[in-house]
Amino acid sequence: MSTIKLLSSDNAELAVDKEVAERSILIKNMLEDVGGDMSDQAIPIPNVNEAVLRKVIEWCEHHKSDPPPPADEDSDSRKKSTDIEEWDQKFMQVDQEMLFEIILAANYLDIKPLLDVGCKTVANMIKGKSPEEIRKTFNIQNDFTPEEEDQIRRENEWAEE
Amino acid sequence: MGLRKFFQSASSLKFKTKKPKAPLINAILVKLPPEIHIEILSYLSLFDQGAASQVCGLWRSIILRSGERFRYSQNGPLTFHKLLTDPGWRGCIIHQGAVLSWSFLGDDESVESHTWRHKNARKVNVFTSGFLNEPAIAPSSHIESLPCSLRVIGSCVTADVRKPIKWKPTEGDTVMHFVLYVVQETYHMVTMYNREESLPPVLRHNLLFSFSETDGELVANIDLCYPELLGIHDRDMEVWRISLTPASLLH
Repeated sequence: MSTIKLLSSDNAELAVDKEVAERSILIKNMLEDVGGDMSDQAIPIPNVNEAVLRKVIEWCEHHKSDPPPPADEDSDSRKKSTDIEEWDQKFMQVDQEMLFEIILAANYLDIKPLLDVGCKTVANMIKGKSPEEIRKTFNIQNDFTPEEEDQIRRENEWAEE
Repeated sequence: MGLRKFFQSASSLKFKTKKPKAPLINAILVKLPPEIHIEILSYLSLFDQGAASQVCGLWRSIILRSGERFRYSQNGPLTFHKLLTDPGWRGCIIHQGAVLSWSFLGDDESVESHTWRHKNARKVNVFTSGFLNEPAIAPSSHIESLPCSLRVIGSCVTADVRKPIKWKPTEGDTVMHFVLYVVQETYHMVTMYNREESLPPVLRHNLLFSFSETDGELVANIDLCYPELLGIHDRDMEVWRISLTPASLLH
């Protein structure tokens, strides 16, 4: 099995099985473009630091044998499940900063299944919470004026039962 | 709709809030591109989307301006049916199968909302708007002092409820009260039935409703089905044909 090297934003060189790295569509396409021989040259991943890259590689290792995700983007079912398999749940038990960094990295590296897991994890953190609780959870600033807040509250009375 | 299209539409979202500001103080969260916010929010039930839309301007814009992807959602007993085919409609909330209320996103981007108690429903012709492909209709037995009531919202031209409505009248119920929110009026329909005489026990819990419009008059068809026939969609059972009268004529 051939190994390739990835260079994180903080200049750490990580050796990865090509098969594992190719869970990233970005890397896969890149390798195809250069003819596949990147054995002596590290691929720079300028948006992702070492800690995050290691996490992402860990995920790719575990999921290297997964069947490819369906290509059809429009296959969204009406009701999207937020179920996450157990291994992924444990994998995502990280602090929020890392969680969002993983999501960003998955987006950048084009690893759709990992992106999905990340988004589901965040969605599960929102579920069942009040607006104020959500703000607290993510440290989001309430950017509505008091008048707007009042209006929003009135608008949403209908949803409170 | 694909994520990319969403991203494009989300990029042009206008913040409804007036003063310029950084909407999210969370440094990491703010780095997420809009399509990821959309992706995250799309996993939420409408109930949770309702809460999320009150969190900050960005999420509010995304949730209020998203397309059909957010149209249906269910969370426990709450089902949301967002009426977004017609861009003016934001949605209605259904609780235990009954439409509790709806809200309307006006042209001026203001949001109006109405609970079912409000009689002055916005003048929108739902017959031509086609915002609702399916009717949202269901019984609810806990409305004011009515023994039971049915509330309907949506386009009723060819509304056809394919699933049987499971409804158990409580002992002594003799009045079925229908409130139909359509066009410019709130229609009320009151009809009597005597469950002892009219409804054989086997039929009692299985009513199929459909509505049609004839010469401007709304007609509600109530099909009574044997439970064992529902699975094979056999509807050639007894049919009640009931005319709906605008509420204004009843008072």
